[in-house]
Amino acid sequence: MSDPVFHLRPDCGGTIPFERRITGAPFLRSWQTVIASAAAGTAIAMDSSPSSRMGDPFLVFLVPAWILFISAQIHGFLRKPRDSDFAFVIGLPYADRLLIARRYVRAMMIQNALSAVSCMAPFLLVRIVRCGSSEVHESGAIALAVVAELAVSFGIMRLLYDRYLSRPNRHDRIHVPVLLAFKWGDASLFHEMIARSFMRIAYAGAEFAGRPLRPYIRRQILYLIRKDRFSSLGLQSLGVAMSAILTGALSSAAPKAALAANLFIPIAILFANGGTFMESGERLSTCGYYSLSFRDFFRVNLWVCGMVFFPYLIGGLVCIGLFHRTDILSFAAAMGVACVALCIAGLTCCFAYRFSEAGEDSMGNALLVVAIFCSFMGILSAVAGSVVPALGLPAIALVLLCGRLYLARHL
Amino acid sequence: MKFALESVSYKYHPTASFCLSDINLTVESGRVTGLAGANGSGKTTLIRILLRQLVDYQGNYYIDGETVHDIAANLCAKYGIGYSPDIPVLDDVLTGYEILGIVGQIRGLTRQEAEDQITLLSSLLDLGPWLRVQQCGEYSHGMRKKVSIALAYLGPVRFVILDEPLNGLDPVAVMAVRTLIEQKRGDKVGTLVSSHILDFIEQCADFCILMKQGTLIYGGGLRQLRTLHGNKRLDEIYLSLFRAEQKR
Repeated sequence: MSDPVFHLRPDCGGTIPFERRITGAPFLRSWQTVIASAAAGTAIAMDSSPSSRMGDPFLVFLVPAWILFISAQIHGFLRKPRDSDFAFVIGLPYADRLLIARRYVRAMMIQNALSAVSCMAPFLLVRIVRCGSSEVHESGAIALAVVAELAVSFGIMRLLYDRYLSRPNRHDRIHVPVLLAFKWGDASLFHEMIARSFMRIAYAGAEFAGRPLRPYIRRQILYLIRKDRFSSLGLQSLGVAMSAILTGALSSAAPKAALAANLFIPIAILFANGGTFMESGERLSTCGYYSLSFRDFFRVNLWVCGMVFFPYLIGGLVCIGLFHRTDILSFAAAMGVACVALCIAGLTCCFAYRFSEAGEDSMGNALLVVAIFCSFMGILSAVAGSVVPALGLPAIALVLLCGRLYLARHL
Repeated sequence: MKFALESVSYKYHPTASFCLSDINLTVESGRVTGLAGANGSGKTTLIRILLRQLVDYQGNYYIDGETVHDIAANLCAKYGIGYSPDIPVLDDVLTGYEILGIVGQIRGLTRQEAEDQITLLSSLLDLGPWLRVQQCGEYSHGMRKKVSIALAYLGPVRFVILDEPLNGLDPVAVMAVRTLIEQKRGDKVGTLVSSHILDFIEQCADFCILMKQGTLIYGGGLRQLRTLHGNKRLDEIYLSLFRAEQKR
């Protein structure tokens, strides 16, 4: 009971230690093993090739996905306690939330080590039984990769929270104790390094844009990164990594899935950042030292959205070019639709600049409509061939033109 | 560079009384002009007219002999005018250094030039290491004010308008602002300082504009004003002029 977390909140730990509450769930772990075994069995049974590797990507990418989920949870209750799933953290000061974060990471590390073993075992056993002893080395490598992923990810997380490298939000900074502020100050070199790397990203992102637009593109990139690193930089890095992996690993087995991923990941990222785009536009109009026309601001947004799309376009084209040349047309059509989506996204972002009272949800809604539309077009393209995008795109262009004329007349 | 106002009057609402009435004034770059007046005397309105933030005024406004109404381009960009508002408005999410870098490039500086100027302004105004690391939303009021003043002087500006620059600044920062203004005067950059701190205006201004209830009490050289009033201090002169206007 010497643990301060228990004194702070009985419902966080109660009389049972926090770790045991999380890890002490043998029932859950046995179900995990059963599900993993079933998944492994099904995957391998469905795969007709002699050396079945269908489970490998699933196994290797499950860990980062899970770590990402945990990071998002911790990020949630540390930086945005009001939006957190753990209601009890709302009333806690930053120092206590940091304490809980540290304990949570430690507890999750133990739990995940157990889960990873219980999930990996059936996969590897079934695989070795099916493929024979020749695959033992490869199976061992996969097991090691999973363990290494876990160890490195949790190591980084522990370093972040134990060394006070996670930055409190603005509200917490005001109320943060002197001791914590002092310790945070020790990491100023780290934050300066981070600030420099953000600047480099912003400079690189605007390098090939027109000279008058460059500073505004840099500002927009910096705004997105500074506002929410996870939704902008984190998701984009993860998305690009996923795209590369899917293109490399899945394009031969499931080309449609790889193409769909390359199309929808950027839309999802833009969807996640929609509110920030709007907010940035509002802010730009209120700061007197910026001067930008509506048209130029649209171009800036278009450039930034294009930057999000670019790696996936390349990924999709590589995927098609290497393996399935016949799909080029449908992917090009889908990307065409995505470009229209870009225009809509850019235009919607600009509304905030023009009308600061515009609803925050309009960007998100526009992207949602676009996502639904893209999937509809994709399905129709697959069924009816390239006629659908060939007819659909001019129709969208016409609608956009009418919209633009309407805006020009009424604004 | 010369700003000239001829019989300029302004009211915020058609039925309201004039906020500024019949202002005739000339402000030139290359010198420091102090703007003082009672609360509600129209100092900020005058500044907003000079920046063309308010356009529906009566009378004529010229910059270098050109009628401002005929200028289509952005006034601040065209003539190199920097402005620091009374309440600083900054991009709260970005750091001060990032904002300064971006604004420097908008004003046509290269990356290296912007870096040099930021370093210079940072050391003059003592912006400290927080400038590069902390987001503006986390700055104190004084720090925000200093960043806003640095923004006004950044780049190839020819004239700077500072609205209440001393609000929230500590004595060291006040000295730093004064040094900056004087240094920029040496570089032929003119400054219009609106302030209630008459000592500050007396110390750094060459010309002086005194306002009361939307009218001009005095607009001319500070030395001439003091000579006219027997070399009294500016606050004493201001008080005597203010009372004389009240009696009238």
